[in-house]
Amino acid sequence: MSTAIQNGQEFYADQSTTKKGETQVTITNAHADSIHDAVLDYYGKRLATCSSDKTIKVFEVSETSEDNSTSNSGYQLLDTLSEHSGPVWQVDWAHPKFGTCLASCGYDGKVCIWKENSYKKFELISVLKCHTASVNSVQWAPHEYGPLLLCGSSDGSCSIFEFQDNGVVNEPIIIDAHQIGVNAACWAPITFNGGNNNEKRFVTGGCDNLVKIWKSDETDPKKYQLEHTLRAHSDWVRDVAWSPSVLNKSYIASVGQDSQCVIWTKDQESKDNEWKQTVLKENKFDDVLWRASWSLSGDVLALSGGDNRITLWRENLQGQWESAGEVNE
Amino acid sequence: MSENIFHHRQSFVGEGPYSPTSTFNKSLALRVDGGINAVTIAPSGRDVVMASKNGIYVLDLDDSYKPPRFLEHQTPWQVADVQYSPHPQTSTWVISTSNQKALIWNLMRNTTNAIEHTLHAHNRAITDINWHPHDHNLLSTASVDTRVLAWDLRDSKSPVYTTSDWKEAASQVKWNLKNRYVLASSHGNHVSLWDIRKGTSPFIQLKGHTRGINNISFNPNNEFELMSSSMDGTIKIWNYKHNSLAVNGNQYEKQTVVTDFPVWRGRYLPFGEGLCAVPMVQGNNSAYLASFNKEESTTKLSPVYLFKGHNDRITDFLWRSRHTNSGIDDREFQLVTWSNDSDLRLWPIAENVYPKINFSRKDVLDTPLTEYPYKTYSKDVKFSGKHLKNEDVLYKFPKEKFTTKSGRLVKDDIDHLSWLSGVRVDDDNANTENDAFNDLVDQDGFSSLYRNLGEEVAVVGKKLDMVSFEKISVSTGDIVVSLNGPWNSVNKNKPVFVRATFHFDPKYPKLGAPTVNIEESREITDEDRLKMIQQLNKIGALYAEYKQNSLEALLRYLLGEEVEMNPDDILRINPDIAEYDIMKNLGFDEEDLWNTNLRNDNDTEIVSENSTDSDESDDAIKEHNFINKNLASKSFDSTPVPKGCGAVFSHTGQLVCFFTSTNAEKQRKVQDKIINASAGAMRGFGRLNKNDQDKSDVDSVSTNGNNSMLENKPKTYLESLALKNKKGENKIDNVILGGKTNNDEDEWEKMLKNDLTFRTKMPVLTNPSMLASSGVDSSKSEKNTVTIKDYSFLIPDKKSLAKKYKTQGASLPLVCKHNSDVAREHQEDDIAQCWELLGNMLKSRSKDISRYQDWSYDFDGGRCLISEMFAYFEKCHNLQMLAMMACVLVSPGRNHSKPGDSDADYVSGEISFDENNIKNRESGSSDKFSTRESYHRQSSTYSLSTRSITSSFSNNLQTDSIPCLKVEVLKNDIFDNGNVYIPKTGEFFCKKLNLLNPEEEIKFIKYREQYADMLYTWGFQAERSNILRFNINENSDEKYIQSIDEQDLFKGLEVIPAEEKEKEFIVCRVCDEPVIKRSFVCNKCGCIAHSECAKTWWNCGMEICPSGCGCYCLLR
Repeated sequence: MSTAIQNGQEFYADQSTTKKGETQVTITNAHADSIHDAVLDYYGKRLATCSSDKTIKVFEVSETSEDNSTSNSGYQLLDTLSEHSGPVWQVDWAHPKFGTCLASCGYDGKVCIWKENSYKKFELISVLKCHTASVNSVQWAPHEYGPLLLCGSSDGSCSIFEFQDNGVVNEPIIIDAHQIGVNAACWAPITFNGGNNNEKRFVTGGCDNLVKIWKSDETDPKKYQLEHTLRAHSDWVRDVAWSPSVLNKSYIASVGQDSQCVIWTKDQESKDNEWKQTVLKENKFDDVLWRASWSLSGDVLALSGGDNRITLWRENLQGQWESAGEVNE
Repeated sequence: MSENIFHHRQSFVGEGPYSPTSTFNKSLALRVDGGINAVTIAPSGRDVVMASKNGIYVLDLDDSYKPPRFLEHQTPWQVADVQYSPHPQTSTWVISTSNQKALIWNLMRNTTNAIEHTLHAHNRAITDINWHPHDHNLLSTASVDTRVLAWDLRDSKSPVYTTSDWKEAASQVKWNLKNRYVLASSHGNHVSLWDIRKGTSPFIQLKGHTRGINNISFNPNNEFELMSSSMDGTIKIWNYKHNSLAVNGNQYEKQTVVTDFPVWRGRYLPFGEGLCAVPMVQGNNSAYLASFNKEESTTKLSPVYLFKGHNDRITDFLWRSRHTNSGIDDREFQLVTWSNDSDLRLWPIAENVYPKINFSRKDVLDTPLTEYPYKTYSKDVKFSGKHLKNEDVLYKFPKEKFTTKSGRLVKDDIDHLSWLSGVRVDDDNANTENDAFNDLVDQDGFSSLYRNLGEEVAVVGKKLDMVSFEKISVSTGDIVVSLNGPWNSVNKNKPVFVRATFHFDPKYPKLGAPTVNIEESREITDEDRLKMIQQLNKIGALYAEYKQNSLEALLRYLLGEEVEMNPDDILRINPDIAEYDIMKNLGFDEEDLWNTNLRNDNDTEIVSENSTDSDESDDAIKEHNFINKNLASKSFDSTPVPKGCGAVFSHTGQLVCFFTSTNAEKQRKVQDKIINASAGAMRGFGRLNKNDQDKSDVDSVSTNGNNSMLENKPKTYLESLALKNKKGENKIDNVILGGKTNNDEDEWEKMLKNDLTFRTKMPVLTNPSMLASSGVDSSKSEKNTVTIKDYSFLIPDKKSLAKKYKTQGASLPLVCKHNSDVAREHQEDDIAQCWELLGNMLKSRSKDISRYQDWSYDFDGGRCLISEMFAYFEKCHNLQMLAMMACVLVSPGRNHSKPGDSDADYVSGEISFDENNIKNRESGSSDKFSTRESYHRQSSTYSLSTRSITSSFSNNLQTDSIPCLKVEVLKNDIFDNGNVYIPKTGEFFCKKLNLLNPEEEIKFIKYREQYADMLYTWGFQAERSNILRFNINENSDEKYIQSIDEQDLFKGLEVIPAEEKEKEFIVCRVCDEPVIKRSFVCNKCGCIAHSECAKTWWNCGMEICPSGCGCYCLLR
């Protein structure tokens, strides 16, 4: 099966018309070991997956248009990227205005930047090393900030890399965020600040069971200060996700080893600078939670965890969180 | 002279084409992973070709330390057979199967284009292929589709001969070795003999086997004899010439050899008189060499020699031969076996074996033996020009290489070090039936760590992974390494790039120290360099004195480490290294992965620092190392357990899910089994010192059971790794335990043994594609899935609506009506109703506008309704509606406070960055976006725009290169959103229609921006800019408008007009089509036409140039 995928010629997709929640594409055993992240790019044309087999694979989605329902949506393996010498934990696509760029991080402490060339192959353009332990999370900043990369590492620090036009990487800003280790870091959407581009924020979650919100210093943009410390988890925080769109409220979801998901909300209009906490589900989840992801407009939250299940959540008009479905394999 | 040849095999060495390092007299084992299923040997006896689903590997047996050449051909089907052409004319041709096709490779061709012919006429999988023994153009194939085909390669499109058994699949096909027209094929339990001159029915059928036939083989000396081996445990020899030989009721059966195993392959020997057979199962995984007992009609297999040593069944065997040119049959043979245990083994034939099978090696030959060029094709062949076709050039991309600066091995090559460690050679041959791979002590009583240089390089190379081996040539004893050592003459702390060449004597380590040379370099003074060489020679000599391997010591010296110069210490090192070797072999290196990584990191860092000085930095990778050296690495690795499952939303509303599909139920079952199995295994087992901890772990798992699974779950990566390893171990134990009971102790020993082989670090060919496939093949890999599911129905923002929504129209109520219709069309009834409501509200107002004037706008609660609607959609997270409302309910353009400004000339040109584009277009077409006309939309814009972006990037990230979107903005008066013409005054009533609260404008701007981003993701460039246009409106803050130029709000993707997209072709003046091929060019006016068109034109009697330039092209 996987050999065929690597063959790069054959498409694996079911002939689905895009019905509600229906599987569009299934790729099985593309990697020799378990997969740790799979992300579609900005346009949904490229899929990057990374795995314990030390590689990243990039697939191309074949053109699907709604007008032409007969065309199958399929994926084609474009490239297998191997540079990491350990498992690769996370990948993130940069905004297309920076080109088709992919950032990856892994257990070997490296952060690699890849760029697609005109042959649809990916070239390694940069290897960033500033952490002395596994880098667990990598994320590009909102594109308005420029090419800015946020990494969280098990060595307890977060780093922010800024790329200059000529490809030079500035000395990273390193923030000691969580003593034992940073498990996740996520930028705030630009709209959170009311259009003030100089005020950058991001949220981190770590092995000290805390969620921390960091804000760039108004006078010195190179400095970040701790703005809030959010306490609710009783075990390691595994993932934090800042809702990408801010309407009247801003949302942060944090999930952890304690099988809980906490939603932090901040009313944009109210003047008090407080984050309110809501526990998503009264009873704990059945297993540890690993991952939280918001839809683009921030209305659906997907949670996944140790029991290999993915659940979807939505806030109803009364402001309560209710299940919006479950994804089965 | 000839006497010598007969009695001293050594006389071959160094003679003729055979290299002195030939592996001929040695037993050799090669561990080759990658699912290889078939092997073949070149007639010259030098190259071996192995075929797997991934392609074929060409291996030079004379330099088995060199990694093989790999010709990729990915198929999902196992390769049934691969065969070298036996003809000198086509000695580089190899045929292999790929399901119903047969591929003929020419190894003389370039790797990317090595397939010479593809034979495709079978309907189902090919089971066997056979080259014609006399005619190099002919070959035959047999297939599951019951057919047997013969091919002539001069026309490979279709077979020249087709026949079929009709009932049973053909398992084998062989040409008669004496009669060029006779072909034998096996079908089920019988063999059919065909004469290709005589049509398609067999002239003889040989029946007698009770079960399926696995193999047939013609007697090389007797035209009418053949041998068939069957599942029924017998090998039958048939003679179809004389009907008188009626044995066992069958008229053709000559002899039956009974074995105690189902026979997989039984073949006549190519020398002497005898056969070689391998079992399908049982039979000690050995190959049996037997002679014929001529008297009896039924005999038991009585082997004269046994080739024993494989751990799994032998799937194929071949004979490698060599001979001199003396006109005497002095051929010498070596058996090559390929087994399911992934070993390719070469077995020399002892001199005393030949007489047993009636091979004298003294007979004078009637005809000289065929000579084959003793050449290897295990290196890729560069373009030879001869075979070059056009398409080769076309699909050859420049290959990017990501080598680090120090010139390490290119990554996608087969890892040389891994390959080396898979090669094992024994110098002293013949006695290989007892495990020859087990004593390290040689005859002199000196224990040597490594059997040979190859092994030493492999082990040392793995150990010192900061050293790159640039060249390893075990056969000649030359090794080139590069590393970074503290040899900088100026600054001792700065490592320096060192390249050193070693030459090892063939007798090393027993005799002779290696000779060393260090490449000259700017950073090392000649003085230092000579000193280093001196010191290295000293070390080499010292180790040589004690007959010890010195490579590691030499490299360590170069790396700047202290080297033991004390004889006692030199001897003492051994156990240490031996221990290391075992540890490595047990394959638990994952646990210290991090440590090695750190080392790696430091290493590469040195490399990159160095590379700025050295002249070989020609690649584009930029390494940035910001690790603070003072930072002590933490003792506790807090890397959490890896996520095995997750879901990530894409911008487009799809959910990418990934799972590790070990279903919980199954897992639990397996776990229970493991517990039982390991508990059983633990019993009666004291003498092996397995960790106590291991045992207690097993106990704790079994006592805790599944209830406390959660608490027992590992939290960190390392814990999970340890658990996984243990699970893996147990699983293997379990598998081995399965089906076997009794005698725990013996079983345990067996298990350990098997376990060892299972976990032994096998050289894996590190081609990534192979990695994955071998991972899937092996039972221990986890299954994983990535699925993309469409969850856009959960998301209120609809792509389909966005496409059709309008923000402006003839009048505001009409816009609302339109949007309402659009929503209803897409079954969004709620949204449709909202639009309707909005429309009705606005309609009622515009009717009364002249009467109620300003104060009346809240008459029907319009504003109140609007703010309620905003609140509702905020709660619903319906960004699309929020943004649409924020656009529809406001009039774009600058707020003109002075009434005089509102004249028709006013143009909201600020929006456009290109002032040239501000034009008055047909003001009547208010319904249309003028922007739309100028470019293609959606898919085409997408592809265009990405291209423009990517091309504008070099290798680096840039911020500033977003081209502007040139939006043409029409005259203000066209955007009469809800603006009402008041007949009384004859003016547009626009300014006062404040449907949106100006105080909340910041919020609305945000909605529009976010929605614009969303549209951008969907690829709706026009819609996006249209939405953003509304950010400058009647409510806009003066400050905001001023700041707008600085912000890149309106920046987006440049839309290339359609005309520019097309390449500029030269157009034929006659037919207006682009001119690509032959053309006519006028010398005078330069106009161009297709030669065909030109011919027609001029033939029509035309005299004037088709371009209309008035030139008389044809006239002088």
